Amino acid sequence: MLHSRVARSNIHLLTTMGSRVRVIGPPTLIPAEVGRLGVEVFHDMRAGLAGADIVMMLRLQRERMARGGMVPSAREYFRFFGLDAEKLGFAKDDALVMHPGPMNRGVEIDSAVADDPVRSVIREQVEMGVAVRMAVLDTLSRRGGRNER
Amino acid sequence: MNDSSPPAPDSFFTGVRLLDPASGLDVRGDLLVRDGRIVDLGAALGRPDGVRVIAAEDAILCPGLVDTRAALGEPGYEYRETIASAAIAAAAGGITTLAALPDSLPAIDDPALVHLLLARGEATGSLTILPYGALTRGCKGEELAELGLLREAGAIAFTDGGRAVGSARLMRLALSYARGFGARIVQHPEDPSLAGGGVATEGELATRLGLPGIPAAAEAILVARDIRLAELTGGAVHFAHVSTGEALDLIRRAKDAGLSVTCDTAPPYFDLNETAIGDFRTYAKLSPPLRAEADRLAVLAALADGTIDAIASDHQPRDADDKRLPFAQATPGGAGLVTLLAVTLAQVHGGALNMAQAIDLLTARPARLLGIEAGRLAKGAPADLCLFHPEAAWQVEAGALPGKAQNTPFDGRALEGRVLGTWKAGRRVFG
Repeated sequence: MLHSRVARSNIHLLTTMGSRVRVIGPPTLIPAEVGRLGVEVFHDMRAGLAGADIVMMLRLQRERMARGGMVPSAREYFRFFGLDAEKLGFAKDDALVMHPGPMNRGVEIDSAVADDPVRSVIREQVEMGVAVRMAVLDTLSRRGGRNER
Repeated sequence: MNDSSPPAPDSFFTGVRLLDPASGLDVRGDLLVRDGRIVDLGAALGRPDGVRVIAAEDAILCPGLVDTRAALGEPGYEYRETIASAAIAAAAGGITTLAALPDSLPAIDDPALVHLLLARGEATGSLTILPYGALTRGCKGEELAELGLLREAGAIAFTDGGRAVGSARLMRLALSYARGFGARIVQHPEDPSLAGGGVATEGELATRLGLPGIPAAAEAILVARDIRLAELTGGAVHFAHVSTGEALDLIRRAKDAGLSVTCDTAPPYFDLNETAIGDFRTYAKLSPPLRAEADRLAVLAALADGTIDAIASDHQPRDADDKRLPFAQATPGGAGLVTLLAVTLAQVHGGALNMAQAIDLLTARPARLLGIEAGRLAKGAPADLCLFHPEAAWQVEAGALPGKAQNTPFDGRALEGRVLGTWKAGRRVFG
């Protein structure tokens, strides 16, 4: 989250749309004063996921675990913050799983959850991401054309 | 001892002074143990049939001591101490629970090693060992160890043992990360960049002896920094073996401000001062080094006013070859298990502490610090007990201490207060 554009964009968007947003992670990856953006902060998946409708995972950038990093190891991250069936069980029974990709399978998400045909909408999310980017680029390029005149 | 040992006999302590600082109990009376647990205690209980009777006039029965800081030598330094020999020394000192430092070889930086220490402690039958987890891999001070996995395996808190976390960035990360797991960071409070190369407290004595000095300020500087980092991160920091008045003033203020800051000290820092190194006595070479008399008095004052949360043995076993060297080259560290209670009692006899305060600092308060259910005399609690005679006199003699480590800084010290017996889960393990 500390390093995530996805997180910031989603926090701005979702809070504007009226969603309740929670952020979960080790304190070393949570930006300072993030609560001021209108989100609740948790350091424990069980408490943080309780009652959630949608669980959006973020990619753990591996270079953040390098020497002197903010997380000691991938296995520890997976144990406490990686989304597997057990942790997903803390959320609502029909909670959807999202991830902006690319995924580190076995680090922040278990393949069994990522590929779950019922719960995971990751493929759709990625597909729509392409469409949204195209739309954004199209809009900007048209507007840019107008400004030239 | 092992699983095939017969069950502990039921015991009845009679006519003893029951002292339980956790509940404020201080009364002459009796205590009954059945199946390894305390089932009743108070003034003049009826003596049941079929129990082993322990009558000890003038003796005090208190909870088994809880030692928040001791190095065991195992794994890796078995020539200094093994867990078996440490358990013998601990039992002789009335200690039934001990938090073991992780800067062994290998360092306790993997969950399997935590399991190993827990199992080895259980196998002693006399001592509960609570392993500290390494704060950084190999206790090298470079990258965080797997604190979450270590915690889950049973690590009680995290520290690099006798090595200070020198980097402010790393300490910030550690405090922040450990907060997510509700774990405390234990710091050896000595700025390594300032203390490096020193072997005694900087001052007149070190100058006369020609020894490289460590300024007392090296402690206060790191304490001040880490208090600030605890405030920044919301993490919990514990300062081990605090030895200077300046550091204690900082800790006192941080506690008053409501920060998660705690500390302990060890007997050498309130019983001895720097003059104990005398003519280069390497047994009195400790880390942190023995301090000036004014600091010793400040430590006593902080024990009396409650600023210090526990008295730890700070047991650091060394063999003769570690110590039979020129002072500057000798390995620092003193044996402390056997003498923990008696040296503390010297301050009761001297009037600096009252008996309940002293026992509180050795039982209930360290148990609270470690977050464990030990250190109390209560119905249903495990019968971990220490029976001692507060006035019985003896003399510390390096070479004649129970257990393997003989490197006591108190060699030759005349003491009053002797452990008569130690019980672990109702079984007599000493005396």
